[in-house]
Formats: sequence, C-alpha cells, structure tokens
Amino acid sequence: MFAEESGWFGDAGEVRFCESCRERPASVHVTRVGEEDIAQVFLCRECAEKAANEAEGPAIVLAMPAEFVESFAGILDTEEDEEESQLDEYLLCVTCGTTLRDLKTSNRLGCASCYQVFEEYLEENLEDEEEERDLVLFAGKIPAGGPEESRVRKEILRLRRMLDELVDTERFEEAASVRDRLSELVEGRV
Amino acid sequence: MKTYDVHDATEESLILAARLRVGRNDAGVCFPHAADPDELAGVKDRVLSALHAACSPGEWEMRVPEELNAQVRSYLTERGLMSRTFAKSIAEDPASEHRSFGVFRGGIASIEINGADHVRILGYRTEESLKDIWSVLDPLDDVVETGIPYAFSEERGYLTANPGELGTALRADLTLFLPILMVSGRIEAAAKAISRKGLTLSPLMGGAGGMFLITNAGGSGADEEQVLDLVDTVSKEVADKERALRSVLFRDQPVRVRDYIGRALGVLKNCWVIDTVESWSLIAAVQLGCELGIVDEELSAANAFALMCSVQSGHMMVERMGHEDGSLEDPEIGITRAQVLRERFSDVSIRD
Repeated sequence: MFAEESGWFGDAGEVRFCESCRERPASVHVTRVGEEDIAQVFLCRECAEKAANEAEGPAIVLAMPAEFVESFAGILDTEEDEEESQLDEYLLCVTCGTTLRDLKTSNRLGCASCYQVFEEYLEENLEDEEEERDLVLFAGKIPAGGPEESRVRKEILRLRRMLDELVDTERFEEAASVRDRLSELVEGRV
Repeated sequence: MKTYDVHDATEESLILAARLRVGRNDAGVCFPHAADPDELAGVKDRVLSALHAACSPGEWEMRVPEELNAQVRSYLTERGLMSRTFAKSIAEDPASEHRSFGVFRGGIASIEINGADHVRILGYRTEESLKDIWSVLDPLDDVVETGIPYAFSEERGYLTANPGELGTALRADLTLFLPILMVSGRIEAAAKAISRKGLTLSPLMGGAGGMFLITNAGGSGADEEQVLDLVDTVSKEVADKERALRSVLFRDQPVRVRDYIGRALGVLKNCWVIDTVESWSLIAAVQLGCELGIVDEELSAANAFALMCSVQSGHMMVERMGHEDGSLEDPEIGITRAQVLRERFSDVSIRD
C-alpha cells in the first residue's frame, strides 16, 4: 500500500508519469538489481505492484517514494557510498509499501512477502533477541491448504520423537514398526 | 447487554485462568495495518461466510464495531474475550466496517477480524486447561481456513504482522495468584527463573492482589503441544513455590500477617467507595486469611478471583448497574462496588 502517494504530488507543479503505462503519475522509484544489470525506473503504484508480482524468485528490489529520489537526486549521485547505509532504510516491500525503517520503528511487517524482502534483517534480529532460540524448522500445526511436503516432514518429526521415547522405555517391538514407517516416509520423500 | 458466564472453579488451585490466542492471516492480502479497507472487507466477508457455512445458526454471535461501545469493550476485555489491542483499534475508529467481532457458544471462544492480524481466535476459561481451550480453537482454526488461504511458510510457520509471533502464532497464558511471592519480594527471582525457560511473567491489573500472568514469549519452531506443556509445567512449579511459602510466612510472622489480613477485612466490611485495584488487594488478603484459618469463611482462590473479576468497572456496569452507555469514570461504579463487597463480607469475621 502506498498510503501517502497523493500527498507526494499534492503541491508539485510538474508531474512525472509512470514509465511503464505513461498514464498515471509515477509515485515510486524502483531499482531492480538483476543478475547482470541494474534497472532504475519511475513507476505508478499499479505498475510497481505488477512488476513485483511478475518478478521471479526473491529479486532484490529497492523502491522509494519518487519525490524523495527527485529532491535528493544530487546527493544520491555524489555520495552514493556514504549514503548506502541510509538507503538500506528505504528497502521497500513493493507489495505493501512497508520500508525497513517502518519495520524498525513499529516492529510490524506489512504482508507475507515482507518476510522475503526483509529476510536478512529478520534473521539477524530474531537470533539476537534470544540467543538460545532453537532455530529448528517450524514443527507445529500445518494448515489444511499448506504444502504436502510440510505434512510429511511433520509426521517424520513426530515419529522420530516417538521412536526415541520407545527406545528409552525399551519397547523395542513397537520401536521397530515405528522405524519401518519412518524409513518408508524418508524414502518416499527422496 | 448479554453477559457470558464463567463457571465457578472447584479445584483448589492457584492457577486461576487460562487464555489462548491464535493469529492467522490471508496470504493474498496485506496485514491489516497496511491493507486498504476494501481488501480487508473482502477478508471479513470470506471469514464470515466460512463460519456461517460450517457452524449452526446461533453458535456465533457477531457484532459490528458500532455495537461495541466503551462499556461493552471493557466488559469483553475483562472477560478475556477481546484483546486490549482490538478494543483500542475499535475505540480509535468506531466506524471501521471492515472489522468484526464474534462470540462463540456463549463465551467458550471469540474471534477478532482485522485487528492486529486478519483473524485472531481467542479462548479464555477459568476452569479449564490450555489444552482444553486448544481443543476448541483448533477446529475453529480449520473452519476459518476454509475461507482464507493462510499465510504460511514451511520453514517459519504462520506469518504474522508482528514477526515476534511467527511460528505457531499461538499466545498462551495462565493467570496465577501469587500474593506471598509478591509481598516477600521473591517475585523478581521468580520472573528471572521463568524467563530463562523462555516464558515471561507479567502483572495483571498492575499486580494488585498478587495476580500474575505467565506467557509464552512469541513463536518459535516448537509445536503447539510443546508450547502449552511448557507454560503449564512452569506455572505449576511457580504455584507450588507460592503454596510452600504461605505456611512459612504465617509461622514466622504471625502478628504481621494477622494485622494485614484483619485490616483488609475491616476495609471490605466498611468501605463506601473503592476502586478496582484496592479491592483486588483486599480480596486477595482475605482469601489468604481463609486459607491460613485466620478468617472464618470458605473462600477458595478461584472464587476470590471470580469476585475480583466481577468488581471490575466493565462488569460492574454491565452486570450490576445495567448501564450500557454510561461513562466508565462514573463515581457510581466505586459506590456500587463498595456495596457489593460490604454485602459479600458482612458476616465474615476473624477467628480468635
């Protein structure tokens, strides 16, 4: 969501149009870092969202309010390296408009794709908060519409736990059948 | 307004209430604070029709934000059916049509739509364990999922607006009655021990009457059962500590304990206006007296807690005074509260 887009152009005399549709005013400056090239475009909200949806995989996209880029264009050109850390703050999720700065201030993410966009920051910070946090994969309830793979993985985890318990209590016959079921599942996955 | 009864607990326990909350989000829509109202209205409609299709008529009592005025919100929050954050968001934007709130089967669970997450399912019971509540919320969670595709990641679990709740997106807490740990200054040590186990101890009503919550600290890779077990086990250990300290304190400080309890009973029998926090402290002291045999009355910790809950402002207005649109600052509330307490304790006396 680009909530403040109307305000960005409220008083401006000249309006820059979206480089993609050339109809709506551009409200977002998007820098897309591909494997070989770096593309910089001014887009409107709709086209920015479309571009984000079409991007394959976790493409690195840096977007910021167009007005910001225009007014600070000079600074950005000359002091690019020095400003790098500040630019990080404007790392933006194009699906919902949440920036890294928003995340740092409110500790809230805007949508499910934010988890990919801010992955690096989240990983650093979730670990810092609790050093002893067990970074195992999620092992809780899987939604009915969730990936089949998750369900199998969860079943494997459950059986492994059961197997340990059975071995500890020396119930070897039951343990053997659990072990067989486990190897079936593991093989089935490979 | 309609009230939601909480059954009297019979078991003699210091763990007085259990609360569970599950957060879920639609994978295709931004989280509520970042989405536009039209999209959120769509989420609301899909969730409501899923509930409508799976549950029999009358099981859900849905309410639109306009019906949730300050008294009703306060009552529902005190009753554990509405979270404070949701109550606050309704207060800030009473005309928010994309939000909705519902109570399930007379209060065994409730649902908040488009609060901090797209959907939050809550359960709060005094006489049941966390697992009993989960057995109610778990199938409701399945019903909601038929309406919205959940934001879920295989590695991380359920995706939530607050990254701290990622994982099971399950918040579990137990309410404990720990007056002696508090007055003896050992509550800080207990809080540290609890946090080492990955849980947090926080005061309820500012710790008045020694009421504390033990809560799981956000999501993790653990599964639901492990989360609930951990909160359960740690709470039982803390409750045992409190129980052990009670008899020791009376043995070591008989005069001070008698004085403290006697004064509390004196105020409860003779007050004419009283606020919630003070009444919680006094009721807690008298309950302690009953348990130590100083006060001539049967008052279990669970019944004392039920009394404490019933004298909160929202409950006073809705259950006792029958007001639904008065101010929560109304001085009449304090006067009525004092009257309720005088009547309750009029025949209670100190044993010689």
